[in-house]
Amino acid sequence: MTPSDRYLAAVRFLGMLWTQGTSGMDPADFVRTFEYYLDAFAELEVMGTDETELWRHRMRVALSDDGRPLFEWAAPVRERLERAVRELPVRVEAMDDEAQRLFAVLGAVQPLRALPEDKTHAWALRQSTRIAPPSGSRPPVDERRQRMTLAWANAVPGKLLRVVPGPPERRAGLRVASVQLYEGAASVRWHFVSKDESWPKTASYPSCHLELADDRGTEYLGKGGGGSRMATTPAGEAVVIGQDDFVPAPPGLARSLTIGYAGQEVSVELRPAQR
Amino acid sequence: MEGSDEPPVLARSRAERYLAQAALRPPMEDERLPPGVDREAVDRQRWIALETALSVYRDLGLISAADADEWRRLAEAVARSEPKTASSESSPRARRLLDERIEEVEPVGEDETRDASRLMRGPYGRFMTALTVASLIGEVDARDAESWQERLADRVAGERAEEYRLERERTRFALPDLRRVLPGPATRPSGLTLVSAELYADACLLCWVRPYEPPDPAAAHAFRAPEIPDPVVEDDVGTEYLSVGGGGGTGMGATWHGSTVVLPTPPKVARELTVRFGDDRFVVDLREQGTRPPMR
Repeated sequence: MTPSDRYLAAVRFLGMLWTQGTSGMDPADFVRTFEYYLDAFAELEVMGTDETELWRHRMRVALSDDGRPLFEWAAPVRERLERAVRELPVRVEAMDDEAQRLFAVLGAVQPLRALPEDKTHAWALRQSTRIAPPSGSRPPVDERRQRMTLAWANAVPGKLLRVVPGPPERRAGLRVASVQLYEGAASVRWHFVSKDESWPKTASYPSCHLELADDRGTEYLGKGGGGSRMATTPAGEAVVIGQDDFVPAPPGLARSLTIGYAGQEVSVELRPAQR
Repeated sequence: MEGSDEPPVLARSRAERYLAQAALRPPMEDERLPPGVDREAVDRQRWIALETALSVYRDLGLISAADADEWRRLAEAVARSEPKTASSESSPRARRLLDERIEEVEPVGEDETRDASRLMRGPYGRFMTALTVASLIGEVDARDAESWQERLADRVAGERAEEYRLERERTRFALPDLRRVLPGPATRPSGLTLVSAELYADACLLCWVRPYEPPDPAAAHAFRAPEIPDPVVEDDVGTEYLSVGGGGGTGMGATWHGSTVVLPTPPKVARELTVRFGDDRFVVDLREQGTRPPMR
């Protein structure tokens, strides 16, 4: 890492603590731990004294923030909002940069808590009347995603019927451990080992790693079912064990499943071949 | 507000925290973008939001032009940054710092080792935060960090270090080598189902599922994961097994699924594994699959 990479990593880390606050931790413990972090950044020559003092000050103020309104800022904030509306072109559409800027002004003044909430709300309503829906071509609708959302909203996976072990092959670091066949759904358990990656690649939204197909042409719609990262092996490999969930269940006539990961495929036989 | 060149600290702090969130958040990875969402449009909106916020806070006198340039510079650096690999061993200055900090750690009693908050207040916390920082800035890699943690555990244990080290060695697992999967399911009247037993070179992973009704969202703060007893595992050749960890989460339908790691992996001469979760007893046939189901 270059000195600027190290500095950026430090700023992002301290920025995260600063914006998230104590997250339920005892405030005194939180401040003490924050001080330890600052000491370590200074000792490792990532930051100088001025910079650590700045972060110390930032954190002190943030922790003293009880969320009280700052109505003394209401007049200039209101004026800034009015100006944002005045500067809008006569006609503006929701996806235009001007509309985005208007929303961003509201986004920036809200955390100041300078206006009563009902005033901010009224202003938001007013600005929304100025913005027309997009008239041009809309982004293409992702039909697969819509089908996936609908399929999972209506899915009521039932009893676990069968578990089929996966084949011993490992492709692109991933091995299929087993396929769990439920009433109405299927889960694929996977085992991933890699020296280069700490987590398997995502194939589709939301967080599904695998593609599933069968010999009957069924369309499977998957979503990530979670995973756990194990300790790094002595050889420096990351091991992740997880599963992806799919609807529907393979139809009774399906003889095999094809499971794809990172452009490679393996087959899982669902029933023995007829002799 | 009037009569002072400095903006009030609280308003400035709120503005800066908003800027920190806007500027320091990394761009969403391509594969996490929902389908149909254009990367260019997302990036453009992100910059419009940041530039607008900078302009608003400048107009309100909450930040200076130099402050705005600094936030802009940080946001550009975050947008350009890529995951970095740590060096393969601790840098001399990281080693020096960690050596100093670990020397300050004194052995503590067994009860104290269980109180993480208390430990973190003292030299243990100073060491751990230094290790976190050194890892974060790439001066200690993951394996090196593990060996520092081993040294820390030895310091904390004092005279019991050897005993604890042996215990840690005995209970260590990484599951890199999957050898066989023995499929279920086998279900008991309690509703507990043993889904499969995954045999790894260094351990056995028991996968299970049990019925689960999610809590009322209004009571979500009182959420507690369903409990399942630690399994008692035996085989027909007298191997001594130890349950060492596991986890779980909501599964398919109204279920809670989880897995439990058991050490060691059954020896090749063992023919049968008996697993008891409380009153629920399962038998796993370890022999090469014949006509009988491997789990009952």
